[in-house]
Amino acid sequence: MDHPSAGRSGKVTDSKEQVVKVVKDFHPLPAGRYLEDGPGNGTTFREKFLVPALQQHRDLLIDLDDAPGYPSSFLEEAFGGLVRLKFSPEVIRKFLRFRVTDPADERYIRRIWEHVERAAAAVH
Amino acid sequence: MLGFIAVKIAEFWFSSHVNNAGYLESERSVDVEEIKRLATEIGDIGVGLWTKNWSEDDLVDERRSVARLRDLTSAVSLLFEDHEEFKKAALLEVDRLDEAVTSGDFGTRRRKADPARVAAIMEGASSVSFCAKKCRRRMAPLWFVRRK
Repeated sequence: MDHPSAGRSGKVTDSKEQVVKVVKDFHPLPAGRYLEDGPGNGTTFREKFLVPALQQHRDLLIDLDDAPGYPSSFLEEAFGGLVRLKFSPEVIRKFLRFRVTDPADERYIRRIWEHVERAAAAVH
Repeated sequence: MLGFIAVKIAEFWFSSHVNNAGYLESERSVDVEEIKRLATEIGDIGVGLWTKNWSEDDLVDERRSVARLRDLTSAVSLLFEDHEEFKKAALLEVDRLDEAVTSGDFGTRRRKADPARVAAIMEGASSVSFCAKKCRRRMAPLWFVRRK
């Protein structure tokens, strides 16, 4: 369905964009917020992939496919947590993109941006 | 004679399309029941989790609720795939149920019993079912469908 380098946003990746498939490169069962919650927690995902990409101004394509689902708490910690670390929503939108194959999973992308905006509203 | 054959062919063609439409209508009703079943199951799991503090035994239920929410999203998207307005309304209710069950300290060892959350979960599950039923009723009935 998708060109291997084309995300749902329609942008074609270039050689500088890193691709992270959550279930393969991070954990097959993403869940929890903190380190004590197990290896698939949102804090570790944020610190391992998201923060370095934003600090280095590197494009990051996050493939959400094949997970059994993403709890709101995980998404909020991983992505809303970026705002609490002082990354602006504009910077987050500039460097982070998402890819899903199943249209039903597009809901998670919407939820992620909602968490980012809500975190920004809470900070200000 | 030829006219008779032509009429018979037309009759067969017409009735096969009407039968196909009837089949699709009953499939839609099955889809609504599936949505209601999933919403109820998610609600039950959520209530079970949020009426007590975290324990290691909760891991299976936590994973099950997340997976069922994904199944629910798929079921809603399938039923309303040609009705964007209804899909949007139903997915909004799924978002609310998702938020009620899996936000905050869900999946963390810090989870504490939360009666307000339990009420939101019960309301959320009920809202998903009601929305699916209401939107399904508003969908134009199929009476004739061309085979794709």
